[in-house]
Amino acid sequence: MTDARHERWQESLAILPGATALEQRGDASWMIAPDLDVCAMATTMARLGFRLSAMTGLALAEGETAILYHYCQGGVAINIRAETTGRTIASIAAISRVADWAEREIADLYDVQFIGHPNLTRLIRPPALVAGFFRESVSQEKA
Amino acid sequence: MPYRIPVGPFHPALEEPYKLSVSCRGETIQGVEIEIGFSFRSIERLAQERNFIQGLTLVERVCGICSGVHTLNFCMVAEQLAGVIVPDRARFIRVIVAELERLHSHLLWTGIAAEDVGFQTMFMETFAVRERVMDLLEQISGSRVHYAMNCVGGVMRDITDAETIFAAIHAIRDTLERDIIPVFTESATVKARTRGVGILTREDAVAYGVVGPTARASGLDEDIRRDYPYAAYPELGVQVVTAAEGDVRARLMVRALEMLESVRLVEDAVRKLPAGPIRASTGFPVLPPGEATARTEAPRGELFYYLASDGRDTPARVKIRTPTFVNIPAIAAMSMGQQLADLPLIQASVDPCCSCTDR
Repeated sequence: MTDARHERWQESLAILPGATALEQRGDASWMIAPDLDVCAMATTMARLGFRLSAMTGLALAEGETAILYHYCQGGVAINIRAETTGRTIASIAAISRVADWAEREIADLYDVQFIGHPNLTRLIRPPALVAGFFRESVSQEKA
Repeated sequence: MPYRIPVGPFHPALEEPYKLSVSCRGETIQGVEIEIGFSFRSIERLAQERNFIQGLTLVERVCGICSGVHTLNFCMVAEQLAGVIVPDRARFIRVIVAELERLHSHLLWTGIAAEDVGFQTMFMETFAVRERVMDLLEQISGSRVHYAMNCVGGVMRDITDAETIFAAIHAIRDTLERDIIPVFTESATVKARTRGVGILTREDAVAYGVVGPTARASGLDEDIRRDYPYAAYPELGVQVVTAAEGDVRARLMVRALEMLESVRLVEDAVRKLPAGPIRASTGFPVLPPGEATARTEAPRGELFYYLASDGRDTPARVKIRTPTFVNIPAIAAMSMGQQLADLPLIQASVDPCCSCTDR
């Protein structure tokens, strides 16, 4: 990665609503931005040519969830973390088709509402089951 | 009159379950809806209930074909968190096992593709070669499916009999070059069944975010082994195979030529195998609180792991994004306007792994 390209990416991400500074950890850059405008972020990342590799859900207290967006492009990896508010967050499925299934899976396993998703139906488990299966531990259930 | 036909979840072309609901007008496909989750085992959640050593055994069970690359990825992300440097000899052994695994996975797919086009002789020929690869993996690891080769900090077993590997790998290469690849690239039967069928354009490949041979057959020059180098790939180099056409034939050609590259990598890695230890230490390292990601090039494309540790001996979170999870949705784009009779071949051309997808 050239310094000029890296600077351009940093500048493009830094001006996003809710953005924080990128931090280099290991082989990847990380941004912890709970209030990030994820739609603006997804649009910017698509414009910069990054591929959405994966999305990770992380259970937080009081039913909230951290959503990690894992991007990559030609040897560069950027991980961006936003958080739900009132168990909701904007969907980026209209901007990135990869997010369609990723958001459906997180909605199923973490009970997150992705606002604006065109078809937020269950991906992995039958619709009759209660959403949020990954929020509780197996040990807690047994107890 | 338009109609809908269910294909699966118990499948005419695969032994793994997923469902395609196909909308047709006459014999022409007008839309495909895809359902997964029939073999959901909750492996990510189970991994968070086991210590890291048990977790390594568990993630090897995500897949019965690319089991080794799952442990490799799990080890890489744990090693990153723990700050462990893997010895050189272990890095080369990891490449040898990973490329043998790619070879047997591609041969498995080639055999199924042969069966799907009605070429039974080629199916049997391909699976006979695949047996030799499986024998080699058994000789190295003691197992034909779950090799248990990778551990955090290195590998569990050394490679001591280079000559046997050379002999086997040369025989495999000869059969690939003499029989299998020419038949798949020159046979009129195979060409007629695969050329211009199930096209995934470069634009759709980018939009769907497909990975691995599926992406490379649509002209995307991407390979994690080169772009995010790991193990001994920087020393060995990787010749990335691409094709522009985006049809079933292109996906077939890419995998065929990738098999020769895997043979080359195994041979080079065995020849250049450095002396030294195969593990950084004998015990399991302490994983401090933190988070990390790692990518590898599995046989079907980019495999992604996210690992979070809170300092305990069980992971706080393990996220596994398998290549088929992003490749399967693209079957909808490949199938539009195609003949219903070609659907088994089109969906098989992605080399879908439902065990990986559902986890």
